[in-house]
Amino acid sequence: MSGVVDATETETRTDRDRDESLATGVFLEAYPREAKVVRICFGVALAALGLIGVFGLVQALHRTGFYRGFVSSADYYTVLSAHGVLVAFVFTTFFVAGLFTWAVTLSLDRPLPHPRLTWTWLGMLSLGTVMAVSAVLGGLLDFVPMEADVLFTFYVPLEAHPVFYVGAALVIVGSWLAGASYFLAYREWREDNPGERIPLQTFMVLTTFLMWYLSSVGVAVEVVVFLIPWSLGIVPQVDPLLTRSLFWYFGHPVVYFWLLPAYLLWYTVLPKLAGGRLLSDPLARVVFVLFLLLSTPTGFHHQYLDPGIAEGFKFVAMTNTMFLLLPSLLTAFTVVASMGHGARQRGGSGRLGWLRALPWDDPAFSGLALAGLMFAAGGFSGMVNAGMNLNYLVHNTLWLPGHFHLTVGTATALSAMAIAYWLVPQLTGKRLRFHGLAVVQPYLWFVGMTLMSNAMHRGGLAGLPRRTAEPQYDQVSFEGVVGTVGEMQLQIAVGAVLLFVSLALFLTVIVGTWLGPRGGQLRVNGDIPEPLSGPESAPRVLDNLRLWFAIAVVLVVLAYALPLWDMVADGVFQPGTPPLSP
Amino acid sequence: MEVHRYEKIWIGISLLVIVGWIATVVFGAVGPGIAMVDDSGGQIADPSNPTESDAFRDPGVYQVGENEYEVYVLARQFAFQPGTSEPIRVPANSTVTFYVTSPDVTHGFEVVGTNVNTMVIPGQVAELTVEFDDPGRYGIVCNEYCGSAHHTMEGTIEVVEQDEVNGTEGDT
Amino acid sequence: MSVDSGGPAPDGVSRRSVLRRGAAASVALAGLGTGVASAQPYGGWFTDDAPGGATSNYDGTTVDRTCEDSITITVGADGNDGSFAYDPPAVRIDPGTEVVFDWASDTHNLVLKDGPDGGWSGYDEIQDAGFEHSHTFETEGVYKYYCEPHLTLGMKGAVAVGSDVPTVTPTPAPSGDGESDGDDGGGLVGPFFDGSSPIVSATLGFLTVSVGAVFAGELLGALDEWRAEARAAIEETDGEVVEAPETESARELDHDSFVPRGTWTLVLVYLLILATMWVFTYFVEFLGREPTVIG
Ligand code: HEM
Ligand SMILES: [Cu+2]
Ligand SMILES: [Cu+2]
Repeated sequence: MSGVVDATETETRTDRDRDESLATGVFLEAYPREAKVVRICFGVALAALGLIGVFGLVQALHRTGFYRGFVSSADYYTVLSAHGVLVAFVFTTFFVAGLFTWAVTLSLDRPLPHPRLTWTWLGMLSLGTVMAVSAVLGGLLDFVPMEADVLFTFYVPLEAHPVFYVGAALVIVGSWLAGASYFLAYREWREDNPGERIPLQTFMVLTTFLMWYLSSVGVAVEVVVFLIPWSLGIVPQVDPLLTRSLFWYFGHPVVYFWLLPAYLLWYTVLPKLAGGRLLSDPLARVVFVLFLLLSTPTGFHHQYLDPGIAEGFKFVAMTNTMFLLLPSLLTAFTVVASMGHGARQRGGSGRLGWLRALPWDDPAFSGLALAGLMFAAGGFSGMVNAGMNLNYLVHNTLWLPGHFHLTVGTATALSAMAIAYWLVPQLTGKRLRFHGLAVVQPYLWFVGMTLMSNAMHRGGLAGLPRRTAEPQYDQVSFEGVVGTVGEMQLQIAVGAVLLFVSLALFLTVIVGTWLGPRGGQLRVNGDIPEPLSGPESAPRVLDNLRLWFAIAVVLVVLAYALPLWDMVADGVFQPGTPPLSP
Repeated sequence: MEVHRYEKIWIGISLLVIVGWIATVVFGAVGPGIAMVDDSGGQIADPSNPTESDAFRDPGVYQVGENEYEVYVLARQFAFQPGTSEPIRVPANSTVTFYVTSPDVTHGFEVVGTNVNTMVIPGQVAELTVEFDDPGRYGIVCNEYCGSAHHTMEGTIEVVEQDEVNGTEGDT
Repeated sequence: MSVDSGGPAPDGVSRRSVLRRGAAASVALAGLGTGVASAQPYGGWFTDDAPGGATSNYDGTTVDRTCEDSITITVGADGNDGSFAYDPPAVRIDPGTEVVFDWASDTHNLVLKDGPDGGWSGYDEIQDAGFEHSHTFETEGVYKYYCEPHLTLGMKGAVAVGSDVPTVTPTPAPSGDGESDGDDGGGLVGPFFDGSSPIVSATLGFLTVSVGAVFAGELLGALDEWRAEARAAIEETDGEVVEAPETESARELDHDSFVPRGTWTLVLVYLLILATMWVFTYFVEFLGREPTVIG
């Protein structure tokens, strides 16, 4: 974080026309090495997405009872672990690393410094992924002598093979080094451009990474200090409550780590695709600063129903969480207005008639826009989750998967697919193939997710538990509030099939493009126009990253010092449990 | 910093609404009196032997007042004790406090169709007070993954007429 | 929202679970009432097709412990991916032999699946390590039992009493009593793809083949098109990579001449929906539920 330099120098903005400097041609030709890094990251992320889809389909058909022939119910949890671990550690991390490498390079208009550092973090991420994923898949493959059926939350005392924990740690540390690359690039840029405002995309990347450094310390401590020694037998027992609290200290900010890349795209690329410009650069900065401040001191909202934590701490987490709605509501306005600006520039008019003027047949646009729309729906179920006592209603029911398939499962995943349609050609120099398939793909995802997620939410209200291979019991039955349980199961299964098909279409388009020959006229244009209201009018203090980071640390200390002290006061490993294989 | 008038109003409304959501939750806590599971159930120094701790009694139903009962439940791979092999029987019109803990891994304790729901964490005792007004049967499911047969973990609560309760004292 | 709250509860529940057992072949307990049509030992009790799946520590042999007064079966011995096995899983004894079930790990019981009339009836209560249950088997016949919490892991056992009692008996094929009347209280949809109906299989097969053919044809066509299109595009620019031209705007609007009125409408509608659903969820769905946690 040594690269954080605040921009308090006097106004000496060089009149560099960013539009012109960015128009050096296709990204690939301007920054071939960075393009390669982004390609590798996207390649891994999108392959992971494919596997996520396969496992997702298996789960959906299994737990609804439509088809249980793929795996036994005991192995269901191996599949679910793979689905979750691929989402939490592989797809998201690689997508973020790739996208941020692109964003920093493009907006600073310079390559990343220290190529060796870049290859180091890419290597660590890849090695960590191979270790963690093979430990999980070992549960399905007889020739791999490892198991990690612990789901992506790995709650103690269920134990995974040590290789799993080491892999997870490597991914975290690798992501830290990726952040270091971005900060070093920023520092070099700052030396050449004293007094200039941080370019918006870089600003977003840096604030996201400050939040990430602050929060991922939690899981790093959990894994390195507790779980690795414990799974190796060096430490006999660890405290289940303490370790899960460390996990959730990281577990909420991590969802913003997944989401902020989508925000970055909604703010900086979506307006352009809509034919307009971002309404306000300063407000975008305010939003990212709010995320940096409020994302971490909220983790206890995942532990509302945990015994051993006083109600007051839960209430503090709830207040912070609710205020975290503010940046999202601000985003809703700014992004919709920027699309509106585009629509009007394209000739649209009327109070709502302008919606028709948007380029709905451009898959990059429609994907990003639909992702934003579904995220808005996910905002509602998120509020319900956040509502402390209201959590009794939905905790650990199917409502939760309903919620996060709208957020990470669509806001992030569909945005990733949409931006791939736009970026992969710029990264490979290849024209997008199977354009027709690409045009329908986001809509298919939207329909599939509407069915699956809606039914999951209602299933949750009926009490159906999540993470359960066969939610059918001898003595327990479920009654839907709206609709019957049978109809919900049907919708989940049908939705899952549509999602799977949509994912297959997406991968066909991308693989077809990637394998195609290079050259020719692309369908996309990589220029990003200036915001309507630029950074000049934003208060300088917004760029003072040191200040915001310091405040974020203070808020975390306020929210976490006492409860963590309560847990460790009786001994760091007390009350402790030995490992138990699942 | 140029901000549209509409956007300024939007920020104001957003803040109001956020305060409104928080107020609703506070209302639920003070009005109907819905309290969160917290640290009041106490801790168990040796999680694998909860009954040796002062914070936990032998699993079973105990009458502690005229219409007041305490139920000690062990959630373990893959059964509730009591709950699975025999139902938890409590009388109607009574106030029941559940104490739930686990001697092995993390579980969930969800009474289906109600607002009774908690995590069960080794070393911690979840304490939940519930009023049962009418006779009826409720299903209990474990809603946190606890091992390869997690989906079989279920139980029942039977709320019976007052006069049908006999010999509930401390049965295991 | 409870299980038959207030209703004629016990009846409803047991009828339902009986139906459920009959209903879905995929439910773990299904088939408990029906036989497995094969000449396997214990009617296939230890195989994959039986409830709970295969028992990993059963190797197909029955341990002969005849001519002994008392034997021990360990409950919760290692096996079935954990301490979820009976050891030995299958034994043969003489009538009058005492069997001591010795709990070696926690949370197990002995639920009798079937056995001769008037014989041992199992031990249903869940017990922990150190507990013992003993029974002297007088009635000849085959006793099959399982552990209720760990059935799905394959924790099953059998005792054959009497040296002449066959462990392999031809059992009747499952009869039609497995059909559900559809009144499955849990509302879970039965498996559509259990292949039981030839019409369903035929339809599915036909659909698969025809959809497959259409797809294959489309794919081949698409590949040709793909190659031709790619070649043409490259020729057009002499192999250079060229970006699309920036799209022209019909008009240029700056910050002050753009009034986000449409946006304003949309976000207000969104907020209204949020507020309405919040009120419904909190006050109707949540506060309307009984019982609730009050301390
Ligand atoms: C074809 C598409 C998909 C289908 C059909 C699908 C289906 C499912 C189902 C049925 C579950 C619930 C399992 C259970 O609780 O028993 C689940 C869990 C989950 N899904 Fe997906 N999913 C899909 C794609 C995705 C994507 C793209 C993401 C995120 C990028 C995602 C993230 C998750 C997460 C985080 C969980 C929770 C895992 C856990 O509880 O440990 N899914 N998925
Ligand atoms: Cu969260
Ligand atoms: Cu459990």
